[in-house]
Amino acid sequence: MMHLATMWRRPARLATLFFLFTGWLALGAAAQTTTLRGFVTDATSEQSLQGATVALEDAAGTLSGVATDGDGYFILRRLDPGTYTLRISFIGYAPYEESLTLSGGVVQRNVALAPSEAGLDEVIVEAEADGSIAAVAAGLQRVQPAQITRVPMPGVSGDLAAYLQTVPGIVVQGDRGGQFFVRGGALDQNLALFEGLPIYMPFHIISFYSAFPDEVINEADLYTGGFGARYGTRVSSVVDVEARNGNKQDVSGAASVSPFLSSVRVEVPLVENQVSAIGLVRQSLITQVVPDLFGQKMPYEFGDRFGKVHAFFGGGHSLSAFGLYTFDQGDIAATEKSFEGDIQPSVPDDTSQVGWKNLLVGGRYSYLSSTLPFHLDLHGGRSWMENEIGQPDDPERRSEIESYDAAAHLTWFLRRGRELHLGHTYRRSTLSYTLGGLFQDLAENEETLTEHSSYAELEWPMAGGRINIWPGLHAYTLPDYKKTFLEPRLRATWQPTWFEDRLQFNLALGRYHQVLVGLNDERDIGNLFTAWVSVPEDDPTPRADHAILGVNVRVQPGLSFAAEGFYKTLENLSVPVFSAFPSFTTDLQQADGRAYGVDVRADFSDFVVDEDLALYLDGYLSLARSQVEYETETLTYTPSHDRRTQFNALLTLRREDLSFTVQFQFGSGLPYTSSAGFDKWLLLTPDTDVTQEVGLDRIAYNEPFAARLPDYERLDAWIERRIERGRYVTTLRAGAVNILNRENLFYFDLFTFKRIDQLPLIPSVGVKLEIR
Amino acid sequence: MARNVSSLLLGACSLVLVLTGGCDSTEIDPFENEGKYFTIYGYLDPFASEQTIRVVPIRRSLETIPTPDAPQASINAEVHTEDLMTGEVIPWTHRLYQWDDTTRFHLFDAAFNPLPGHSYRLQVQQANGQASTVTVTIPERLPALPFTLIDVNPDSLLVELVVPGIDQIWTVRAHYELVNPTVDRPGGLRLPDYTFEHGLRGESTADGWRFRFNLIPDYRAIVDGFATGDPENPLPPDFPLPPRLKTFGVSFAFPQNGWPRLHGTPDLTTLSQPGQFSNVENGDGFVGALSFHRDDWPVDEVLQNRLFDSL
Repeated sequence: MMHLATMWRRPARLATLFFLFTGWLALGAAAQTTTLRGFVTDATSEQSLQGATVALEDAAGTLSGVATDGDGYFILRRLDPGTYTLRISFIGYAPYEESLTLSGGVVQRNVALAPSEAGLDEVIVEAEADGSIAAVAAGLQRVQPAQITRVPMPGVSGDLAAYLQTVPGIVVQGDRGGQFFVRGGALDQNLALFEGLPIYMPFHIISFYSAFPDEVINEADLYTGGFGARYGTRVSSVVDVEARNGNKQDVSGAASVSPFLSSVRVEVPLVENQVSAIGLVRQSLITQVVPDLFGQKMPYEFGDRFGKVHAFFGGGHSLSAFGLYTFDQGDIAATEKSFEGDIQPSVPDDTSQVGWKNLLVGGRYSYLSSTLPFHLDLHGGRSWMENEIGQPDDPERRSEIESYDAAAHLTWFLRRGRELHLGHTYRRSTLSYTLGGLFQDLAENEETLTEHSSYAELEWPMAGGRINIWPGLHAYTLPDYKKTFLEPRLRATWQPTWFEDRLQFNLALGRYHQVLVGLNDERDIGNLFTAWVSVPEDDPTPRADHAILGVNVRVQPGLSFAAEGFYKTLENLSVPVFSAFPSFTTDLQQADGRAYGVDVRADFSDFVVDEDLALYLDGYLSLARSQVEYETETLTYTPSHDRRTQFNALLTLRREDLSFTVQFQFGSGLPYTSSAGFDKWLLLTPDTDVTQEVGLDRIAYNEPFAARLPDYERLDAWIERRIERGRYVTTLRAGAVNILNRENLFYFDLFTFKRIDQLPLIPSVGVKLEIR
Repeated sequence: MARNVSSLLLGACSLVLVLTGGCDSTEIDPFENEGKYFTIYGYLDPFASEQTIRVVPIRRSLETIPTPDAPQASINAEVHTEDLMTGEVIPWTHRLYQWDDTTRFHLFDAAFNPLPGHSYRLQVQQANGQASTVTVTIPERLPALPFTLIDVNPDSLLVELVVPGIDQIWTVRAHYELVNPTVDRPGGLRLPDYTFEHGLRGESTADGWRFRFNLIPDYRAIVDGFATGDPENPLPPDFPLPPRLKTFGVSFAFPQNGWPRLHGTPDLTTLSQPGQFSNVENGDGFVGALSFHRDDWPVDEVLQNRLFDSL
């Protein structure tokens, strides 16, 4: 029998097998004589609904169906004459049902689904996908633009980065840098995908913003752990963002202006109902508009450019091409304070000036067969990231990663709602860095890494849909290493009959490996420089095992709770060796670890405050408790991202087009290493002459990471007015981040006594004009 | 669909208000010094009449002493040692040592010979009474050691010694006394002693510290030196070669037990971590105690011939 790794080195053979397999499956298909097609849209926004389930049941109870594509289009071909029941459903929408008599030819049905009042029978799917903060199912939260917009931020649009900061279990390091840790995982263990391509530093230097604004996102799947067989190559979390397509009916767009970030979005139907283009340009204006805010300098330059062309050719074929470019540059220590809290003039140095760029170019071909029950998705492209630290024209360190992806995903719709998912991703990455030798003992290098990810996953509803299981296997193959890691995965949901079907239990289990790792130097402010390297072939590969158990309960329409516990084991991590010297090279050591915790979420909407005034209240609360421990050969400690308690609350009071939102975030203090002071260190031997040895300046630190920084607390308040006139929508937003101007600590330098705070009180006003 | 505000929601809102109103401090004092005052380096040497240690105050900032009259030049501390066997207290004298134009540090000196087997309590005390202390015991003198000769091959004649009760020894030196028996005088012509450094060697065993060194390379080096001659002290052209070994010996320093093992390649990153290489109470650093040992053994004719044959 051929070894799996050997097989993967023969792509032609694999492709042959792949198509033989799909061909074999196709033999079961029977010819039909009627074609049923149409579009599924949102009845209120008129946006296309991708992924809606279109099911057709004949008189004998035989079911056939498809899912709508990116334009909300569906087509069912070769249907026998007869009477059918057409059912269309989508998460968060009232289901549509119609009896049809087909007698041949082409039948067109365009269906506009109305947003659902969330009937109880929708609990399972809603828990998976409605995007509310309580809609978490075994680590998965499906986020849609409406949920992102719910979290206000400076500017008028929403952004996934701001939303993520409200998700329990996600620890954001600060208001700058956007680096985040998920349920005990490290920075480099998160996989961010955009249109299927990895994006290595997707968050902007101001942490409210990322490459994922709500105007770009069609849907984002956020896995805080326990991700299914489709995903691999990382051991902590996955953010899988799918970009939206442009409007294929009308020219539409939006323009917004605010001091932090202004944007222009244009959508154009190049060929009506067939080809569309969307373009988005966002540019920060901070340095021009508010270079100095309450004494704090704001030297942050960032922005992004996005474009996508999508073509629907009919017959279920669609093709798209996209490009995304992001850039960030700034001095994250631009405003320093003395130990006593006085603002000091700062001098840009080589460790506080950071910059990074991402460039993604890719394409996707999708085929939704109307004759065979399958959906094929092929995509690929190039992802490039450059990260620098130091003076922009002469960086002290530089790292670069460039990867090429080619992927195929096949979903085969089986009877009784079962689905088989198969896929393969090829990724070849070139990693290079120039580090000057004072970073992880590395000077400069360039290497390549080839990764193959293959998976098979079955979606298997049972007990009338009350139980859904997703057993799967992910094979992570490294041809250069001649290694294959087989990673079993299991996700499951169970909706018991008791408690009036309001409950859903969730389970996720999985094993994960990661060979491409990012090295950070904890002495860098905010850990904003990452050098990507591959784990040496002979070193143990970082590995994690996840277990997640959760429950969702819908108390009543508009009020839901979720609780989720998790346990992760982490093995073969590379962590810095503790050094007592300010200018010492950071060596690495092996560590194992574990993370565990529980989070509780509550989400409520449309609560009447005053019926006469038509005053309503929406919002959510989330509370997370967790603990992370690392264990090296000599030490057990809690790493610097071990936030024990996290609380988020968002309340929106609204009346007609006016809303007032208050958001509060609390994070208990992160671990740090306190110091007993400074002294000198010299290696005393019986030959040492203490009069001739100067010694090295040493920080006499206490037990590593045993002390805690002050808690993080931030209160934001926003007022928003939305005025709709037909296709034209004007949104005005005013408010402030950190309205109490709390001096949350971002970084403290033990050697210079200087502290850098998180962002101060930031007032912001903005206006957005939108043509729908 | 509209819902009525429930008590749960009101409770949640109240919780937010309580939390937002209960902001705690954002201040941070990263220094948590629970009783560490001085870092001390040095060792007591029973073979020296002048003892010196270095004292580094543990401060909240990196300390430099830019000028002799800078505030940091005054350490504001007293140092003394107490012989725990006799009760004798010996004061030490402060000395601001200038290493170069910009680097100065605090030294303390005391004139006394520590006695083998005696324990000394050294204390560095601030004016407010806070003190860092360390107790060291001067190693006892070692008895005369026997050696074992291991004749491995023509190039290897190993002397093996086992030093009982010792954790480690420091630089090993081999000493050789040579004589030219053919010279017409009683006992032959005695030549200068030769010393060869053998560095750090050996291993800890259940019987003590065991080490070996090879006589043959040393002997060959001595003979080669005679053959090539010493330009400054040329031998007469008719000087008979080679000389014979009369005695050989070994000397080494040995620290008191508990001095961190520094043989091999020490892990400096680990050793430099606070507390890792320290025996100072209420402080850091390391104060050791040393002793020395030397044995010399006569070389019999059998061994002389064996060495001669190795040439």
